[in-house]
Amino acid sequence: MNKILAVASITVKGELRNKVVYILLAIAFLFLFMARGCTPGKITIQNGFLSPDQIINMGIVITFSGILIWGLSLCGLLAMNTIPRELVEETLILTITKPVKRIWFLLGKFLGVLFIVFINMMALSIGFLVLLYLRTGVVKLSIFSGLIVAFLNFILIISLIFLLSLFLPRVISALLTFSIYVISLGLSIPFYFEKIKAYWEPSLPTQLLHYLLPQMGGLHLYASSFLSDFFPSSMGFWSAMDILGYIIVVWLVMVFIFERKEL
Amino acid sequence: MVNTAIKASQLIKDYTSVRALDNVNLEVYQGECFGLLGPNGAGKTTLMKILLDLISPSSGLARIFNQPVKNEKIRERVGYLPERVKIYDFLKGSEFLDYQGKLYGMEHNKRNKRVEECLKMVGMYEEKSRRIGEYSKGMVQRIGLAQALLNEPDLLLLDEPAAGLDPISNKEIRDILLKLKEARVTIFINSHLLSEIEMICDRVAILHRGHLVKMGTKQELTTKGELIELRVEGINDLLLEKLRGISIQLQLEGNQIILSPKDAKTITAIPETVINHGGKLLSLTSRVESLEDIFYRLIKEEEGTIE
Repeated sequence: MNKILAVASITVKGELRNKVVYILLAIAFLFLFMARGCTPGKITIQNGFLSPDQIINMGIVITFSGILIWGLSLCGLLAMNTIPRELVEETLILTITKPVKRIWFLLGKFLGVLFIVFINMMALSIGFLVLLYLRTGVVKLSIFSGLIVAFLNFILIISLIFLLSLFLPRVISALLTFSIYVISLGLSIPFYFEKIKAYWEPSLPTQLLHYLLPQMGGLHLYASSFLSDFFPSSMGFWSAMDILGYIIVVWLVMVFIFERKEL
Repeated sequence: MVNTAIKASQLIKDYTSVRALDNVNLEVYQGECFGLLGPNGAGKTTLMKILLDLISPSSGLARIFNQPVKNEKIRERVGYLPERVKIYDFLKGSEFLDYQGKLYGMEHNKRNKRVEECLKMVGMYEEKSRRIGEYSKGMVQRIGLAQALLNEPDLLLLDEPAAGLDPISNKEIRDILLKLKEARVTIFINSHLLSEIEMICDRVAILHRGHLVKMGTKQELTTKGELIELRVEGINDLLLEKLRGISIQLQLEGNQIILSPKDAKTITAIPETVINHGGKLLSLTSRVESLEDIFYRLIKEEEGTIE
């Protein structure tokens, strides 16, 4: 375990020198301040009005989605460079020629990236909560429950990018993973919202794709359900199990490939 | 019974278009200093990589201290210095060694002590707080050697240890290696610098196009005895034929002829032979075959370009 943590701490140290992380964080905070956490006031929707509570709630959900998207971008940005950079610059050689299993190296790298994402997400969420409290007096700690659930998605995304970047160009790996995420999110909507279900019967290919792809969209919606009743939570458990299963499979394949990779 | 530090049995490594190692059998004994020589593309680095489990052989077995190289535990006893040391350049020298110590599983106090010792040993103690990105190539190489010595290895694998070093640093590193040799550390060096190998190594192996051409002590490889170097003007076919008649082996390079005389008596016949067959003898020197000569001869023999 100490060896995994040693690799992780070096990864964190390296990533903390990545200026792009700070630029992204600064932009995220800027947007957060510009949006003032949420927007009190009247918004007319169709024939009715939203109450102040609903407006605050909507602001929270929008901001939460923003934080998730920002977190996903950070996951992609960090994960797509981590392994390819080690391979290209050959800096991993002096690590894996030590009494270190290759899987420990991968785990260390993974934990390092996850830690940076976690710290950034926490900073952004706390910033948001402070702003929300100052503006509205509302305390919404359930954002952390949502983030914990959404973190399963992040784990899968980082793992998937790690795996794909072993044999694909780094940008393609990230884009492919994000495409899976976006498609999964889009496909989840007719399956999760009862009102949409009533009007739309998904075609067989859509159903197949929905069930074959990891349920990242389902988990995204489930994470949002901690913040608003608007989002369904009924299939949250199965989405989480599905993502866990994918994480295990991705890691098994990744370790299998990396163990055999000629360096 | 002599214990084996490295054993390679019938090692074959095939890449898509080339066989990098072809049935290599090699044994390095514990406590000896062993040099692996070969021209570029001979398969030296491939062999080193197999020993470190960076690549897998297509067939055959490689063992270190009687353990398969796949077993990462054996690397607790191994130090490795790659030809091009690639290190995270954002770390300071001491931070990098501390990280390497953690990978060896060394506990905190021992690690701190050892990091200092190794920094002093390679002459980098004063530079320990500078970022590696600011180091010269030679300094990076020294830090690379320090990390290889960190765990007080029983086996040291060195891939071109003198790469990028100035002559003074080179001598200092040679002195370190000689000290390690005295301490009975097994040293396996892969190098182009034949003079270095000659000064340090007990035995050498010559690898060419994936084949192990020869292995043994320098004495065992020197089968030709004395070498005669002639500088002759007016070299002609008849003269060469006559000289071949009194030599075990003859090598022609411009107006220089290097030959191994069949016996001591024929040495005296050389000037006469040259003069009688239309040649003008400019110089004649006699010397013992150096490792460089042996290397050159064996490679040329393997290529079939020496008679």
